Amino acid sequence: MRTRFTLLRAVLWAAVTSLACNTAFAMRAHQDCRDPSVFQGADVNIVVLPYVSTGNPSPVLNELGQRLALLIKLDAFAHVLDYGSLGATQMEVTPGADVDTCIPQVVIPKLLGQVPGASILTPKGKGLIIVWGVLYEEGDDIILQSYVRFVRQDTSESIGFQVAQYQFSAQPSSQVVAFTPRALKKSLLAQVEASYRRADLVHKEPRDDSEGQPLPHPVAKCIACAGELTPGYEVIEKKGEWIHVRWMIPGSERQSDGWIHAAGSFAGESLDSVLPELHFIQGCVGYLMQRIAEARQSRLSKALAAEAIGELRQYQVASESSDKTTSAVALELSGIIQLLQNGEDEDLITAQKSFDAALTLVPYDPDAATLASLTQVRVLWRTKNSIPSPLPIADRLTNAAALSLNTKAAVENLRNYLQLLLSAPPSVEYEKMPREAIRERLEVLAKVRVPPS
Amino acid sequence: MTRAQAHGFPLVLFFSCITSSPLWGQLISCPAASGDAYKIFVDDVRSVSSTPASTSQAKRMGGLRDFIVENLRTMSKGRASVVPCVGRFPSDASVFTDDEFDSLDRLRVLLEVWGAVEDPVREQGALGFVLVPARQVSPPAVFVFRRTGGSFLSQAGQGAKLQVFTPVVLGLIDFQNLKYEDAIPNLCEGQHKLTDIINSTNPGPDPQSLPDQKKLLAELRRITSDAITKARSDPGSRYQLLKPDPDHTFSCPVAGGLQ
Repeated sequence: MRTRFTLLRAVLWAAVTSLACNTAFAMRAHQDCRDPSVFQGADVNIVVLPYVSTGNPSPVLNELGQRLALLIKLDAFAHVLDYGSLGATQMEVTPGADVDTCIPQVVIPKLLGQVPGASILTPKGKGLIIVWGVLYEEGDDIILQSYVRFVRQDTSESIGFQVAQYQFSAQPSSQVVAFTPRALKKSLLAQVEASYRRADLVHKEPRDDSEGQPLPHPVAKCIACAGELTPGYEVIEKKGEWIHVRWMIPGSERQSDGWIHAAGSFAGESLDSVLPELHFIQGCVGYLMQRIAEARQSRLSKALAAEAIGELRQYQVASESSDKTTSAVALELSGIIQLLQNGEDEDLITAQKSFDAALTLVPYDPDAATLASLTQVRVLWRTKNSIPSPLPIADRLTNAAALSLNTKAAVENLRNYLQLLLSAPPSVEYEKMPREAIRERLEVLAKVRVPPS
Repeated sequence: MTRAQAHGFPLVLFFSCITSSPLWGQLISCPAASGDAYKIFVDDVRSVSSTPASTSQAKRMGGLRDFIVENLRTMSKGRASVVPCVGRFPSDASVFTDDEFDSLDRLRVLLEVWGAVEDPVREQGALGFVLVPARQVSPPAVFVFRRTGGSFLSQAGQGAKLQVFTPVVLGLIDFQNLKYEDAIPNLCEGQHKLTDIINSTNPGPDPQSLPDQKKLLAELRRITSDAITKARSDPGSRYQLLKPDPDHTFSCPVAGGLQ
């Protein structure tokens, strides 16, 4: 047990580099929750908190929860290397420590700089995905439930639409999602352990039977060692489930390199087939990368966009019946990625289908309604230069304005939509919505007090 | 886990208002309660049977309680924090008197949750929920979900639906604090999610619980209409955009499904 525990505590601590293709990866394990940090140079950081073990008089942090967190981080990271500039960190504390030191309500505000306590904050505009969860052990079973929050530092997830001279905006229904509880067999822990050992070893060749040695782990000593060489690994390339890394040998200026088996598996299955939420996380990385690229007046390549959309769809297909809200968010994120491609008719129509499907799952959600309605407006305006039947969309946007937590944007959307209708030549007549009715709605809207956003 | 549980025999979570209840332990003040933030009190899990509960039965009930509490906390989007109340356990539904509700209200408690192993032999237990802001509008505002057998996974999956309590109590507390515009989105979310539970076919609503669920839903509808009416007394309210139903009440706007 002691040996195993030592192995499990071995440090996988990867750092950042810029590759020839301007790609950077970084990975870090066993980061102390009391001093959370991310990789400042990474566009998107994935941070996995230990899963909290329940069923005791009070929830506790134990070894199993930390091991699961590490495996989830490794699996997610290994599947998203193609996106480029990434960091992944597994947080943990001493087993048995106070749960409250490692809960999202404590760690996230630190990482976002809302309260002091993080040594490295998420930079403005950069993406952060936090994963956490609870688990329950009984006999051979482990039941777990995961949660994810995604955010860009100091940046709204609002997406802009322009139709004629009018600006509109919409956003995903939620940036915090709860996944449906899942069951794993405890007997699979042997495979988890094997994955762990593979992950904690660096091999000479990308094969499990090649010579390997435990990764050096100077992390505990150097977490707070300002000015010292950051211990970590430069990721040179990815080959299947293997990543090729290079690192500075601690205490010297020499480098060494080797291969890490990063994508663990449960009994021959991939971890994401057991935990479909990993598809969501992988797709969410693609979504944030697309949004960050958009801010740089760029976009993801078609291949990467398709990969992200594929992951989100896989999650949605696996979970739609049990998890409507999160499935709706997955559809919305895939629709936004599609929308932010080059805006061709095909992208728009595909995005509209995703948003309509999301709205079917959560018909009461004002953000889902806004995304679906505005995309429909954009498609109609692009193809027909008119909105032949504007009343249903007007009603949807009115209801969204009543329920949205972002009143200002929702009211602005409604106003601009009504003005867009009036901007059509006088000869254009609308079904079930005469111009006088549009003007009346605008008059009511003019009296609505809009709070600052 | 028994073979029957592993195969997912129908989970039975009975949802009922407590009108009478067995005698349980004493209710003490929550030792950790302080501060201005809204709170979710998490009480002990205890056996209330003369037959002692096994460790595994208590563990199972505690696990279920904690899964549900994490859902409730996450749904609050930072508005409520979890406070463990070690040693606190309701002796009886009658301990939740008006005075006790006032005390919880003063402590800014939104929800209180506890677990009880009621019959270890029949694998029967209960999770109790006190919806503090609901007391005024839908007394007694104490609900118990009973479980008999079933796999932990299916119970946790069903328990996740109880996240509906978070928007309900947040909407009600804002309503009581006269923040009508803030209350309405949460009240509507609570209504829609409760409707989903009632209309769910997998598993279908429990016949015994249906009347209580419908009663709560009816109250939420009435309060939402009231909140919209009151919000509209302000000429600058965005709820001026809504039109009343033929009976002059207001319903939650539904954005989807209009086409």
